[in-house]
Amino acid sequence: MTLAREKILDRVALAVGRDRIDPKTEAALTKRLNRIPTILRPQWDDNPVRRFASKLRDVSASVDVVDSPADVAKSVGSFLLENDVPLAVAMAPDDRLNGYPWPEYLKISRRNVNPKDVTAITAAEAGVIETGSLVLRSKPQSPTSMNFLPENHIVILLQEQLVKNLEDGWRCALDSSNGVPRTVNFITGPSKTADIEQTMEYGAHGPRRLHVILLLAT
Amino acid sequence: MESKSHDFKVRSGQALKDPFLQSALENLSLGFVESRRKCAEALPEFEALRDLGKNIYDHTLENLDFYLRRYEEKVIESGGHVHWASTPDEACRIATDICDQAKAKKVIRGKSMIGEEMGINDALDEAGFETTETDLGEYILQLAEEPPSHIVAPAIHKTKDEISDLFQVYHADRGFTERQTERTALVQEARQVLRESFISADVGITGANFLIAETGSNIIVTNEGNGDLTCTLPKVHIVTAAIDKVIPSIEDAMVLLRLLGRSATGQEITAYTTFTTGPKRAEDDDGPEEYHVILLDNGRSTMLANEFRDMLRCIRCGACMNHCPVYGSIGGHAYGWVYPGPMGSVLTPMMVGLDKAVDLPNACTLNGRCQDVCPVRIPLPKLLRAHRTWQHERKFNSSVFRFGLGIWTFFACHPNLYQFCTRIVMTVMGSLGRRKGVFSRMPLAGAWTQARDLPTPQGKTFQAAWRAKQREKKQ
Repeated sequence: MTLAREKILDRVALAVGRDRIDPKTEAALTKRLNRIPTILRPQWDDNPVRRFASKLRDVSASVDVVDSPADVAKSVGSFLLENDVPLAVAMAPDDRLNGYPWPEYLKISRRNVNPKDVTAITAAEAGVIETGSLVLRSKPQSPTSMNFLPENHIVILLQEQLVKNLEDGWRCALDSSNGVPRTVNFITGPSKTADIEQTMEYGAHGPRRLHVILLLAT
Repeated sequence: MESKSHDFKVRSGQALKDPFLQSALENLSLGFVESRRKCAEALPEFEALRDLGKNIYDHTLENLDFYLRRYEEKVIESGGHVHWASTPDEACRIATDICDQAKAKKVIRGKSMIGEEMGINDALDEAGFETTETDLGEYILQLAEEPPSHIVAPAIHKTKDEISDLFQVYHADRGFTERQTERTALVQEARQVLRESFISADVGITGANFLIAETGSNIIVTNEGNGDLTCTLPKVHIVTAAIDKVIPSIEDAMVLLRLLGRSATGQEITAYTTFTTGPKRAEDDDGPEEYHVILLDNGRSTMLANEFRDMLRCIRCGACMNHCPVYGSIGGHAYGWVYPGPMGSVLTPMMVGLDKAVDLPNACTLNGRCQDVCPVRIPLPKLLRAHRTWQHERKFNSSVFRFGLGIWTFFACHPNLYQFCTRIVMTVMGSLGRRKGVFSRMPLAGAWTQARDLPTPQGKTFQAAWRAKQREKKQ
């Protein structure tokens, strides 16, 4: 379909009124792509932790704001018990999830999910205060299926990972050399649908429950 | 999808008599309109963001040749493939070829309007692939063999009972023999059935809300998460998108995302906003091995060159139809093709033929609400009027209409005669209807008086009253 390509690009060029892009225009457009424009971003005065948690609760996620690694582990346990789900989880093979005193009764598999897993635990790259979104990226330590296949998704986030706007969240998802990963997910609440008679139901295809544990800095 | 837009009058008549559709449309206008209003009010920057959104698109469209090339380069750099198609048929052929080469049997789809525009499901069926829609609304419509009636909420016209019946018939061989009547149970049954489709599919086809020239990424927004499973689990991911989906950078995308959710459903952001770039990386544990993008033109490069360029800013939020009194009365199916409401009335004639959708640009009261809420400030009423002018110039409107317009033109060009005649008509009508004060029947206006009474003219004509007022002022 190279022919279609040439035809379409020719028609587009004709429509914008030029045969080809001169070097000066090309340089100006490339510059626009590479600069970080100081464009309009939503602002607010609320307390960051409170705003982030309340934005997530507004969209039916559960949020625990905790002070210690022990409380993170406790929050996982009580979430599972309260919702009466099996005490077995697939936990992302991410070093950032090491060092928590997980309850002994919890059966933990450090791997990607399979379709039988009911609950996944992952670590986020960032939390966006603007919208209450969690930013997750695909990498061997954080496979994307974990965010969508299980019924329950538990995400662990540190206070210092909170960033202001969506744009800041994107930058946290890039790797050390600014490379773009295959998938970047901005997750804001559990899966839902209003496709039957315009009434909200949770757990359409992705997780029915999203539980976020935010560990405050000491 | 074959257009039935020429049948607009008959189809809208049927829609007006469908009681469930009428109540669904009422809910829609209450729900979406109200939540959009609240969400827009809660963001002080909203109006400024709309200006910015418009400017981003104007800039992009002015330089679309550059951004398309740059986008293609970046997709290839990230290990993906870009295919170009001038027509929906070409695009479908490319898609079926990719599925053939992948030796696919099962294909899953994430909801996209461009897929409807291409008629991709029919093409995949004909080519022998087992295709499953995964968005719940689209899945219901696939079972019912119906097109969507709203671009964001495709199945709003279906009742719960109809859905129960469909699931009972089509899920029996999957082990679901009991007829479910509760909403939650229906959603869960669909989840389980579709779960199997997700896991066994060879190819996943999604649309794209935006394509990013800076990175070669595509963005998908959903609330269900079906789009994410569609582009993560199968070994091949195909993105279908129109050439006007390209925007410059991630920063630009964030501006438009802030407008999209708020305008569509009154959400600050949807549950899932996903940026996908190329196939899975070598070290990744999941994700597709192949990543293809099919870029479809289908008349857009022509619109780029004419007065309809503004329409290419459309981000498919559906706010124009949610706020349209005509859509609110007849729903989406009456429009007869993929895109309903004001945006559809502009696009459909451009895509299926000016002479095949003559009624659509005329099904508008020019009240301007669509333009007031359009997040990227598309002058929809102006574009609908432009269509009417085109129709008249090309003589696509009916001879009766042209005759009537001819008479009106004659009088409008002779103001004295016009005033004289209106004075006579008013006097006659005024004395004939003096007793009742209204006319319950009127020749040539039967359709109008069927639903309401026509008040009897009272006092002077407007122009006479105006002149008298002006004289009073001078004295």
